Amino acid sequence: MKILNKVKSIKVLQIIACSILVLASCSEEAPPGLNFAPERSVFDTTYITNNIPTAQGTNVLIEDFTGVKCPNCPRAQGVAKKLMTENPNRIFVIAMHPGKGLLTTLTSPFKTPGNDHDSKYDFRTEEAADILTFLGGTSQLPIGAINRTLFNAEPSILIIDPKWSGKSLEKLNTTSIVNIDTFGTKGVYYVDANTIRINVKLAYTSAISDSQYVSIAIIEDGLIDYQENGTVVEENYEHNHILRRMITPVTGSQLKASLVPGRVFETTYDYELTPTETWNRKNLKLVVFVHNGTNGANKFVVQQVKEYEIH
Amino acid sequence: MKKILLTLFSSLVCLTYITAQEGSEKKDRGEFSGNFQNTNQFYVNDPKIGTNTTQYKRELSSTDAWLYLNYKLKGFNFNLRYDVFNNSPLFNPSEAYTKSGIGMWNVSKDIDKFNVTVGYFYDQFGTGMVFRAFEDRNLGLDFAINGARVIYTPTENTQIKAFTGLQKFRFDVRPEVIKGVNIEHRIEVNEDLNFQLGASGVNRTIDQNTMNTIVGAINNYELKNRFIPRYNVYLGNVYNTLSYKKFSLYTEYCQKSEEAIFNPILDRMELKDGRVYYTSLSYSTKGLGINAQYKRIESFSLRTSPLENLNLGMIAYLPSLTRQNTYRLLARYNAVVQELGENALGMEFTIKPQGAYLKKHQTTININTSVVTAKNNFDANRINPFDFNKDTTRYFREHYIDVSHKFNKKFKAMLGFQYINYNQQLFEQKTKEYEYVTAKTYFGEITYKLTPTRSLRVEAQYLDTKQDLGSFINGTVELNIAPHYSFSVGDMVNVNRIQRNTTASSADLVHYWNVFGSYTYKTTRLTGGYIKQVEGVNCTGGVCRVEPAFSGVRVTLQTNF
Repeated sequence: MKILNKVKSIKVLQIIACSILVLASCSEEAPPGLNFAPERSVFDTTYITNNIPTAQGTNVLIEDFTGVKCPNCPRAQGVAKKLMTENPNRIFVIAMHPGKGLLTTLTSPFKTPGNDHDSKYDFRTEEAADILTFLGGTSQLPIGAINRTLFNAEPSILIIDPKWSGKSLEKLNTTSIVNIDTFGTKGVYYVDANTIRINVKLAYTSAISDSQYVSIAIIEDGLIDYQENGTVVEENYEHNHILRRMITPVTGSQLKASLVPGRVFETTYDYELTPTETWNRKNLKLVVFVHNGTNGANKFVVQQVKEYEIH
Repeated sequence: MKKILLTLFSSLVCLTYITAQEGSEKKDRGEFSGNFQNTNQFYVNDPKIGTNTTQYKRELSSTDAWLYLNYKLKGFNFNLRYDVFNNSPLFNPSEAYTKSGIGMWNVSKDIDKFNVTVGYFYDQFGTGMVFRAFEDRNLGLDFAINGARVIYTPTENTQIKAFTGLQKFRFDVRPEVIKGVNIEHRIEVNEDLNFQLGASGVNRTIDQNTMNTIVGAINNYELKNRFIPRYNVYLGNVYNTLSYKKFSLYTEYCQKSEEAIFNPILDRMELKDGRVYYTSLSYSTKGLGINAQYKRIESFSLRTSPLENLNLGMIAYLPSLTRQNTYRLLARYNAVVQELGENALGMEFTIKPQGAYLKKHQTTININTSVVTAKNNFDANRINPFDFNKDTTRYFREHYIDVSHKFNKKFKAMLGFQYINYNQQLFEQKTKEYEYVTAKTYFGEITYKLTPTRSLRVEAQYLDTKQDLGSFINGTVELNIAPHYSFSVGDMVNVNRIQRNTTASSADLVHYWNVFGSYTYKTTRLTGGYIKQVEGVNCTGGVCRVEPAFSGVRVTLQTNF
């Protein structure tokens, strides 16, 4: 009997040890936002100037999480478009089509057996999905972030489109701690047919203790394709501000220096379009925004944003 | 939290009422017990000893208090603890923390061979190296788990535990989920030989918000240092105590899967797995006790997340093999366990000579020696006592001996010597100007019984070192009047002083004096004293923290009921 008990107990120990090994060998998905691409900056410098510039008004970035099979998303795009029109050069939009997870039901392109209603484009990107996860994640569309801010009485950074207008105006009435400039027409331009050069100048007008990051997104306008809109599917819907690629990591590139008034960062980035990135060069734009890091009470908050055409 | 308290006490009241209704049949109204502990500190600035925390500049006083209540009724066990922290330096010596509330509660019930607990609980698997939820008020640590635990005891020789929960952090919980299972089984082969086997598995999952921060940090590393962090880490251990006649051999092996851990030397996270080997052999016979221990740690840091450091978020508890000293100067230098890697060896001998004269006078000799080095540098040359000072990877070494002798019914004495090598840069995160400490401490104690209820105790230590703050001499005279009173005066003087972070000039003698009194009545003890305490490392087991210098009045009250 004793021997039987010993054998049993050794078996239980073996089962536990094996279970641990099995669990440890389970594969899990890599976390979103990891970046293994080399830095795209080809030049960067930082210094402190005594001529502290006048603070720019805080512009607004609306990150509109959307999908081509989301029937209410055109309504949210309408809200964003109206805000842009009423506040020229103060409000900018990035339309994000999350490329993985539950939401792919709403974001995957139309594909029918006879190919008679197939989408021409697939707007989905992993970067959009990663940014959505970072900002809290959701199972519903449309939803959006206004300067990635967690507003009072809101449970999440991601808020529904009826609230975008009020929250955007709240932001527009403040001044920014950092100015963004890009040296006029020589700021953002095509070096050659496939290389975009971006010269960014960031000048801090106030001190900030939160770590700071810069993010640059390539967006595309004027894409005509299918879109579910209410109860109908529109064949010739115009898709604008579509996120094509993040030039920087989705978590941003950190600005590594003391962030005091007068601190200036000058950075040049080169982005070479790959053969598969057959986007309409004329309709591409860049959105440059400075934001907080991924931790702290004010994590993610966008401090300033600007949009540039590529010359 | 208030809702939980309300629910808990509503349940208590209901159960008490039901019991009262049944009172005519059974008069089981349950049993209340508990304790109360309170520490009050009043800060008196003394720049000469380097008092510089916020309490000396602004708050000037602080209070910590804990009221613990336990109620047992019909197999139910209700526990609740109310914590008070006012301007407290306990959690972080450079902070004045103020908050009060329910620090811990739980309800448990025995159901046949099961015990079920919900709420906050403390527990550990084996020695705690893969999981230990514990509280240490002196160090400001409270690693209770808030969740559920089931203990199943199918036979008197077997016990299986399983739990899941979140680790407590002040009055909140950390977001990472921890779960684990443990089995222990005793096999008695015969009267001389038995085995106590055990095995555990533990898993911790990082939440998305924490992972976002980790990813943000990794993206800013140089490309070659970036890696894919894991949400889950798995730990397992197997252990056994083999007892054969007068020998006892304990062995334990712990393994941990790859996860991001923070390396303070590189100032960045790394993806590493880890392991610990630990063994302890003891032999005990009349007049002689021997204990030898060896431990090797390889990257075995387990916290709620790699973003936590020092004493924060600890899930695994790595015990220290070095001697736990109690005298003030002997306890000045402690080896903090190095979770990123260390080799540690400790040996202890307790000798009680059996010759007629020495046995009659209860003569006892204690000898202890221990050495701690980096994990890859444990070879004969490096642990050679003669070249220890030239070894760049040295961490800690201690040689200790004391001899005690009872001369007669009234008088007993003890003499001893301690030799220490201590890597202060490593253990206290000091700058390079702090050299390796070599300290020799001579110490002694005499106790003289004046009357059957009164005794006088005198202790003295001299710590000789040319490093750190220099040499110290410490003396205490204590008068005990049984059963209620105890008084003591003492002074610790920094002789041959090396000036660091104080306003005293190198020619000044710096005194760390104290006056202390206590009153004990049944289970209640009230103490008060004026204390000057040197900056140093305070350790319990393998967990330590650097404590700033203290100057001021400390009043404590402790009672059980």
